[in-house]
Amino acid sequence: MQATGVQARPVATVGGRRTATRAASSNGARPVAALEAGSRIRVTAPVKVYHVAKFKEGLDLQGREATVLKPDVRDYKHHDGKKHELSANLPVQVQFQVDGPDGKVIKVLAHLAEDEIEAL
Amino acid sequence: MAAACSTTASALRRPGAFGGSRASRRQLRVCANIATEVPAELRSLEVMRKFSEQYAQRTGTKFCMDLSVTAVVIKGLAEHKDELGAPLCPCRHYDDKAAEAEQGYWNCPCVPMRERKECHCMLFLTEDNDFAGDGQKITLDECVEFTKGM
Repeated sequence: MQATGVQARPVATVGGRRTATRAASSNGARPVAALEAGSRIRVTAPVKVYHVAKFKEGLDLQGREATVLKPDVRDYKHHDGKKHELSANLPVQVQFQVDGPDGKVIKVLAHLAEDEIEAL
Repeated sequence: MAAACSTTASALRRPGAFGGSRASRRQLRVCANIATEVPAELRSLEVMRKFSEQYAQRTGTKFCMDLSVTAVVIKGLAEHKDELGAPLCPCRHYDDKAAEAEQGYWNCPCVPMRERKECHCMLFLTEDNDFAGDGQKITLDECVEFTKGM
């Protein structure tokens, strides 16, 4: 199994939050709503990102696996402590470990939509 | 104009030259770069105009072939900057603007633009876009002219 490189937490106790109901989907995969920090996902849609210094021409994320950092960036701690409705359309923040052109492994953070990924 | 700017910059730098921190000197230099003749009500517009030109350069994106589109977006960014303290994307609807500005996802350059070069305001267009012009520049006069009566 690939090392995550991110804080290793046992899935069951992350933040004390209960995961969403595990309704079975047609192929038996875990629904994306059950994601938590530390979950692994795979990108299923063609997504090209341009914010990685070593890949200025764009980096294709399709087929790559990543670890979830924040399952929903809309779940944000505001300074007034209250919950506000936010509208981010790529709410899942994940981290990839990508082989750079020089052979070194680079950390790549990206935001993805729920319909662009599948839980592993 | 350049002479006036450099005089102002060096005059401001002198008091800090021996005692000031490097950070405070750098900040003064940045202030001197913004045209000193810009009236107060156009400052945010000028800041967002400058940002747009520089960010288009940095990302290799182009402005719309219709510069009035560019101007309207820049004005919208300036208004949000004045209203909320951050240039929230002017082309979207929000339930809670203050909360969005605090969280930052939609603060220009927004996450979809930063990561995917997707700007649905049509401010920054990739070269393959049908509406991309050839330019990465717009003057303050053009910004004001195209947004008259807004």
